[in-house]
Amino acid sequence: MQRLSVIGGVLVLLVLVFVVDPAGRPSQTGLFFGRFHPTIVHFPIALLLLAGVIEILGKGKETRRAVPMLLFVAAWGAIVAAVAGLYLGQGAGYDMDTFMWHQRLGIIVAVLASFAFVWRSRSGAASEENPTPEPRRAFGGLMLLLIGLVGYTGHLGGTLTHGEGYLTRYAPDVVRKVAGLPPKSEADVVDIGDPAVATVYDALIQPILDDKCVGCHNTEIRRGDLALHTAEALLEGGEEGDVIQPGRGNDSDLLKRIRLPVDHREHMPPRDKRQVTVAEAELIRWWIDQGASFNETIAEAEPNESVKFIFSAWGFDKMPTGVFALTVASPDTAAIASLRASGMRVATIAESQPFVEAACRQGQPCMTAAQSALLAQLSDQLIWLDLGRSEVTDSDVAAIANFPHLTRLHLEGTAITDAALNALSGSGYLEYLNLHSTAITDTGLSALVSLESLESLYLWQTEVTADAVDEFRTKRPNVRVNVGASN
Amino acid sequence: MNLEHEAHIEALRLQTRRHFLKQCTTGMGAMALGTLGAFGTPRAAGATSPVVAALNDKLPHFAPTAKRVIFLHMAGAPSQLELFDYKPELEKLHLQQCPESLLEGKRFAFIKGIPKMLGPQFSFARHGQSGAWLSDRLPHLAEVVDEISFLKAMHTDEFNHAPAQLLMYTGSPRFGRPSIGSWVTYGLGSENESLPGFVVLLSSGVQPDAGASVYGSGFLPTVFQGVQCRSSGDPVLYLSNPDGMTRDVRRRSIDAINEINRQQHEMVGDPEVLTRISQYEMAFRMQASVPELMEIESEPDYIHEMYGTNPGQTSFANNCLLARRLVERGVRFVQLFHWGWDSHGAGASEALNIGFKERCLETDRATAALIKDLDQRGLLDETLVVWGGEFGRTPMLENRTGDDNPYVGRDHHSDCFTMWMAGGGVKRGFSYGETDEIGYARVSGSVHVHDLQATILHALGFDHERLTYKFQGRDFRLTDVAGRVVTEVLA
Repeated sequence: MQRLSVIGGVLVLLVLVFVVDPAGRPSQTGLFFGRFHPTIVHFPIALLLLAGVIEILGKGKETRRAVPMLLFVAAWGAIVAAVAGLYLGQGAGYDMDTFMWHQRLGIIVAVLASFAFVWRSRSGAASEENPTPEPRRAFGGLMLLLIGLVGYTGHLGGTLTHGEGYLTRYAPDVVRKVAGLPPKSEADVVDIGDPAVATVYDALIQPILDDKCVGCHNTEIRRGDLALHTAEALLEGGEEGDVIQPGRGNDSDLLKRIRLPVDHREHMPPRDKRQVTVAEAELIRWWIDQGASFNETIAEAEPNESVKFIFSAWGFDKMPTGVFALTVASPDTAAIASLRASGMRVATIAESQPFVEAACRQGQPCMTAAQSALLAQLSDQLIWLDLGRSEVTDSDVAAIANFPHLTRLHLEGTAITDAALNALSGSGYLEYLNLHSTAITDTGLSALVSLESLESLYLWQTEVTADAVDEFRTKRPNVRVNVGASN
Repeated sequence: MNLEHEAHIEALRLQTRRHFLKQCTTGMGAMALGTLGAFGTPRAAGATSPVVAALNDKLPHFAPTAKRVIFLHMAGAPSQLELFDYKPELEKLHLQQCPESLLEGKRFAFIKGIPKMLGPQFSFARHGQSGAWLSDRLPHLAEVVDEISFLKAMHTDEFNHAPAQLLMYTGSPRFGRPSIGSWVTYGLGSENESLPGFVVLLSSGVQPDAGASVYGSGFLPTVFQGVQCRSSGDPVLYLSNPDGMTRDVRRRSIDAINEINRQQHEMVGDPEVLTRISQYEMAFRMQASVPELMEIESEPDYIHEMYGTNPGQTSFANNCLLARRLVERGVRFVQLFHWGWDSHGAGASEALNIGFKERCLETDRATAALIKDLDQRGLLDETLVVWGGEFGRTPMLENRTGDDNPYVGRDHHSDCFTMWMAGGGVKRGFSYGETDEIGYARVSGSVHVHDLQATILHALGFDHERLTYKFQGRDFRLTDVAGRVVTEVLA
């Protein structure tokens, strides 16, 4: 074994002599050799662990006889891995702090492993005749120390490769608490929140960079002297200059790299990493084309056709508008229950929506004083109200007109008059108003001109004249006024 | 009902024959003990089953743009090339041999050998502000064309009627899945306690090829199946009381039957028993509500004039008017079938130049009237109207009987056909999708049947991937493992 050690030592010296560039730059051969570091390093890790376990837990001399041999291979593995690591470290922009500790500890492991081998092979021979427990206990302690060091050095290596927080990213909150980390942030969940507040960059662009780029482009690793973990870092660019040219997505280095053929040397992310999808690239291009704003909210953005398509695939093509963009408290469930018991149909309009619809049932009491009072408790939430063909009166409608968020109102086939429409004329969110088969006249219609959100108005079988409808249409060309197809 | 009880019922519902056989190995003793245990457990009185609870109002996943659907199915598959998809190029190729390249790797239901091309049989013109192309067979639809979104590049997987209809309505070409109307009522419940949530109306005297399965509830509880209403005779079969049976006596007999059923349910815990109870109650209420509903004579003359109805007969027009009356009363899903569009040219009734024209006359006026009537009542805005067949027809002439066939026809074609939607949240005066210059293949804007289903569910406020039902150990949904919401046609 000593002969082997001599040969090994000579080989390591040869490697050091031949691949070291006198000018101190990383040589091609050195970098080539350096990239074997992750491959080689796993052997000494496993062997040191195995040697330690056998030494500490192994029963009988016969079992423990394997230890010197294991230590011999482990020590040499550690030396070769450490040398390879030295070369690898020259090649890339790693975070200096983590890198220096990884390097130091790696060398310490190699030295300690070699020492352990020498100690064990000598004392091993002595212990054949004189098995004293003290050296064994001390040696066991050394092995424990080695295993601990290997584990921590390995973790630092992992941090260098995958970035800070890689290990704990998906850790349950219990583990995070023990590790002294803050609980998982909401940002990890795909929820863009309120599109009027969430910016395109924070909600859509940065998550792509986080997912596909930041593993190698962060404060720790900074490949190509480029970090992409924040807006500032992105603007700073890398060793080849700016990565984005606001307004010119296709000319931006970020896009160019993503779009190079996957085999191309400069393609990003590297071939073996998860690739940026076509949809993500299109989103980034659109964002840069739009001026690469960091403040523009999703609600303000103007998606092009393909981005609309991507939005729809993600389910947020339907940005809440009008009343749905409002923040409204949850409805009073007791009021809903009482209204139901009184014979009305009341329900929230969809799960996880605070907004409520209500309707009178045929043959059931409608808009009694008690019901009106209960509905008033839901005035913020009530958006759809169907009082069609009911006994509703003008004064009921006057009460309804105080509900600020009504968007759809059915009053067809009721006894309401123009007075009711005067009351309604301030309903700012009202989009749909059904008045067919009522006695309303031109006077009532003129009161509706001020309904700024109105989209559809139904006037079939009313007293409204064709002239008044024409006049209304001139004033409100975007409202669909239906006067009926048959009489 | 306590949680344990509910879990027990859920477990029973998921039991299959295999579970039973497997458990048999533990011996009859275990089975006997099991029954003893079940009998020994007292059940809370008046417990409602999940099935009955399911009939109550339920919430969609997001705010809907349509509350109800009327699906006008033109059974037999009308030719898109004679109605909507205008192909002047095909005119030039009229009666020329079909190039073999079009036939390679294709299978047709009937065409064999090398067929001739068949130009459009009717003249086309543009209509409305949207400038939509329509043939002269649809003069009434032309008046409402600006309300419509056309899907011109529909496609399906099946080229025979029954499987294609099953695919259209159940999402699978094989029997056993719930139909779209059942899924919708399962998801939304009913707005009217006196009427079923899902009603089926047939005209032209022919059942759909796939039978009642196209409106069946499959493995969903049977309360969600489509109920067929007839516009002549007894509106719902066996609904009226026999001679000598008064409503009072009927009430008392139903009370007695329900009491026995309730005892049976307490004994065995099968939720289908509760379904039966609620069906009896529903039927009793329907005895009062349905005759009133079906009385289209009560409609004013101008409405009859508009639809072209003939009270007392079975017709598509009557069914369209009924459909409006149904959605007016809060029925969720109304399914119309009108047979006779299978224009092969193998006989007069199947000829583009005879039977097809008759079908157009039977349906055009009433279809347009339905849209106008819904709109003037403010109902179109919250009702989705869907029109279409189960597939399309070939640009080639099908000539099964020889060259001097006086009847002109086309074969089944699954690669492209036209459907349209109007109302509830759909764009007005819009057309999506294109076919090539002879209407043989899709060029852009493909919409598969599953995409259409996903879109209909979306309008009703459902994420089609979340509207599921667990059966035989897995979650089933209407769109199976496919479906894309065609957001392009949504307003």
